[in-house]
Amino acid sequence: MNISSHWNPARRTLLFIFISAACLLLFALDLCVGDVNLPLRQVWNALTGGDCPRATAAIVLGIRLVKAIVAVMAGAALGVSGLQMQTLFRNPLAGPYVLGISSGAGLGVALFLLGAPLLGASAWSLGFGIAGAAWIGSAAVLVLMAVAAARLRDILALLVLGMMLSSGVSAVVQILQYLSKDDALKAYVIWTMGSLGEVTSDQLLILVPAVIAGLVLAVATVKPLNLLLFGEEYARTMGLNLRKSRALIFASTTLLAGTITAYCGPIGFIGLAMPHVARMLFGSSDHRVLIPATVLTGAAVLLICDVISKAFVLPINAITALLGIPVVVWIVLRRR
Amino acid sequence: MITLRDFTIGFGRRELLSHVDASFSDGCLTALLGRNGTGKSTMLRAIARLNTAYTGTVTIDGADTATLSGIEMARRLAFVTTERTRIPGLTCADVVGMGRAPYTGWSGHLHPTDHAIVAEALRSTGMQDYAERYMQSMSDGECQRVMIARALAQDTANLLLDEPTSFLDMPNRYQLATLLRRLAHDRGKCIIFSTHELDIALHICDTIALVDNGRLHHLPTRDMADSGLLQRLFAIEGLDFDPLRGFLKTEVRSDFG
Repeated sequence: MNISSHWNPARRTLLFIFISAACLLLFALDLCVGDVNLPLRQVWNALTGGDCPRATAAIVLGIRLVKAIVAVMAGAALGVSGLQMQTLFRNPLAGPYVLGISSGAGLGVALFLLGAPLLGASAWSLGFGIAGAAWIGSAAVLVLMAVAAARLRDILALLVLGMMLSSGVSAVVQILQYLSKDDALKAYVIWTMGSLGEVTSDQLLILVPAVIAGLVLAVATVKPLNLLLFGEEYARTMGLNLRKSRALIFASTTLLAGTITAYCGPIGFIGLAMPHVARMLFGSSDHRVLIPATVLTGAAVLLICDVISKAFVLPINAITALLGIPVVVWIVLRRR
Repeated sequence: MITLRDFTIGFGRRELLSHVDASFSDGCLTALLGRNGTGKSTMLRAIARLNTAYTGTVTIDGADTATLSGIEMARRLAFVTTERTRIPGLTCADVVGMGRAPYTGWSGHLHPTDHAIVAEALRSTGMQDYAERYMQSMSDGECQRVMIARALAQDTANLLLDEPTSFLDMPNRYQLATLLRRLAHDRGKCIIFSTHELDIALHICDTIALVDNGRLHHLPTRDMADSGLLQRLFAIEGLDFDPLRGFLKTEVRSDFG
């Protein structure tokens, strides 16, 4: 990074206010855009219980508001989770999925959608839904990784283990896909494309508290994260309890990325790209700045992605990839 | 004050130091010498508890390090590793402020007293003008000084440095060693640094600890120079070692008669 300008606190505060305002505007825009484009006044009336057609109120409150909240939560959660992993692994290309969360979730969903019919059971008769299956899958992978992390001192070994676990799990998923019928396969592929729109307002009551708990844990670990910028050895000589800090950071990432992946599918690139955008905008590596900055930029960018995906009726993962890839390329080129 | 009692450590199956007893006092600058791969780093890392695969005891200011918590340890001993550390997006003041970690609360917020200690640490290392500079725009030597300032901000009675002079040019090496001596003498710190610079060790340090085939000889610098141990360990054919002047110099031979 080539930052030489002086970032005084007043300038940072202004930037925070500006991005927060942008988030609010994008949130409003997200409520207006959809199959039917609604004027802002009607959206406002629907939200405040004012005068508007009943169908409009149903669309705004029942569908768009839920989806916009999910977009904000997903952007914030994936961004912060990516930031934690980049710091923990000291790797700018780490993201929320390096620990194998998404492949674990993928296996859960694959077993649910593809595996259950192979055994003669209907997927939907199992009762816990795609989100439950994804949750169980990612939790299983994370328990494995946590056990490994407690034994392995070397963080690189952990990174390799996470990647190998992901590849192994993907192989199992491929076998399931190969053996499956068309409709089950299509349901699975659609899940892998990601979607912010499958969450019901009841599920929001689980999703929002889980993400907030993950964010609270992330804020509680700002000091360990800052110390980890120096590498694990230096961090230990400055008093860091490595095992406890790793456990807290893992727990936080599970709550953040695990929850979002369970409800929305694996949404790519946001977690990888947003921490870099936050670092560039705020000119800092201090997690006391980066966590709120990543929450805001993540939320704003996923709201933009949602607006685009609704306007062009495209899967959200295609949009996040198209917006995220230039950021990743830029990171790689700038490091030379 | 750092004390080793019946200290044995190895690397893999090879024993590097065996049954070492040694004591390093406050107010004293010690150079840790030895050929490559003899266990200098391993010993320093064991004292800092980054390597716990040893037998015997290491005590720091009277406390067995095995019984200390991470924070208690960090308040007694600071360590500067060989790793080249250059963290983008943090100013020098931020980096040095991180040395206050063993004393700050959950968020690492610095109080006015912490800021005063950070400013003082930057001043002692001659880096006061760099407080607002980012590390990515600084030279290796400057980064090294900032990492030492960070260790000073940790406000410990003991300081270990693993080959702190290795990235530096000749004037910077002497300057750094002189700085370490000043810190030991003026602040009463116990400082040990590993190095390959015999001349620096002989001219600037109070004591020399020499790793020699599993043993650790720890003597005042003058006694070490007179002991013949350095000659035996470092002299190789074609080079002569002068313990009083303290450097290796080529022997001028008149082979052509």
